[in-house]
Amino acid sequence: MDETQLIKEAKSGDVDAFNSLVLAYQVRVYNLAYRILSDEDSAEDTTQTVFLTAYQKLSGFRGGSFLAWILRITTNQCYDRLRYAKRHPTASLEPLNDDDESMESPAWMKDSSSGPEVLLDQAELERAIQQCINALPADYRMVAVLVDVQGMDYQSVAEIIKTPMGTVKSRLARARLKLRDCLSGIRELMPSSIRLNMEGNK
Amino acid sequence: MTTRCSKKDRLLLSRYLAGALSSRQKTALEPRLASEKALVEELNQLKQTRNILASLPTRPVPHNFTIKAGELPRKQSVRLFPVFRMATTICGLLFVILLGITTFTTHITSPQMAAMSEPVESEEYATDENQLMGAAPKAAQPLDTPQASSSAIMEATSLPSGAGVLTAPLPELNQGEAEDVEKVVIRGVDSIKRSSIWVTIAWVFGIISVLSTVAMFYFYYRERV
Repeated sequence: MDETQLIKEAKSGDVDAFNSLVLAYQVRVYNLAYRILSDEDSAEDTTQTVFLTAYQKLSGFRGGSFLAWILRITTNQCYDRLRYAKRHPTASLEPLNDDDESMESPAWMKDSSSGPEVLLDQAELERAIQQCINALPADYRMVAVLVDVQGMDYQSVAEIIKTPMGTVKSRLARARLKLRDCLSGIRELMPSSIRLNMEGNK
Repeated sequence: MTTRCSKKDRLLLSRYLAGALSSRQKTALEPRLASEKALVEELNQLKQTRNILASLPTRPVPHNFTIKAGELPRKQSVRLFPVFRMATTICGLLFVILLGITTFTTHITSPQMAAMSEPVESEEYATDENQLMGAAPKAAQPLDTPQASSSAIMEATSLPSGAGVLTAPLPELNQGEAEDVEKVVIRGVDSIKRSSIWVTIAWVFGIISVLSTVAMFYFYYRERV
């Protein structure tokens, strides 16, 4: 059954039709929430809230891209959580710089006793990249995750975060610059697959 | 030529990669990319950054987020209590204000009308009513006689002869006085007409306010549950 038909049936109260949409988009929603919030439990709660909110507000969906609509709800929920977290700070075990932000340098990852021969496995690398994403301001983080991690085009991102496309591009440029600085320290530790990919782009 | 990449250039390159440069900026940058190795290197590093982010694995969901009909929260209906509370307040205020203004303006104009309705007792001005009415056909003519002017006033006010405010035979007036009287009467009648419209509007607001109050209490108890 196509998406339009599923949405139509879900609007008329068919929970099964709505659940088909949930199954189709839950990975995108969960991953976006996880990359922005950087916490599995928060991402899980947010994803559940997103789908409940979507079901309640489905009558307000006026057509267009359902994915963009559901990701807009996700980014709004993430903003709410980030604001809440800012108002109710918790102690972090990760090192902070002088501005009380997570350290951009991934030096904390390196084990000085092991030397340069230490291999980082995929999980550690992911953690390092995620740490760099976390160091970005929320607005930049949203754009970087949506464009570079989720692979969405500028037009869709502008629609999702309700921001002009020029602002999206500008935020992306600044976000990449910050990420580039942050990631420069671990570049040589990248797995060969990524490094080969990088070489290919030169 | 190899030079250090400035902060401004780095931002320029990042904006270039993001497609955020204007065509003029792009035209200026591209020849530099052909000649400045530092810029090319910086651009490649930005591309690498993009690739690193794209390489992040997709995480599996911990469980399905499907919803069950029994678990669904009750659909939140539009709360009408605040709407009716606002309507009650606004309509109540408008009712009071309009009625107050209308009453106030009526009190201002009524002494003039009262002055006009006072019977004239002086014999000097006493005229036979029949004589006055007899002058009516001449009303179409210019106001050259006191009788004609009196009758014109009666027509101008659209009141039946001998009824309403002009209960007494009008005195014989010269032309200037008759015109003054005519103006006052017309003004008075217009004022009454105007005020009656505003009184009606005020009462409409009053009725809406009462109905809105009833609805407000209804929704207050309904939405509280």
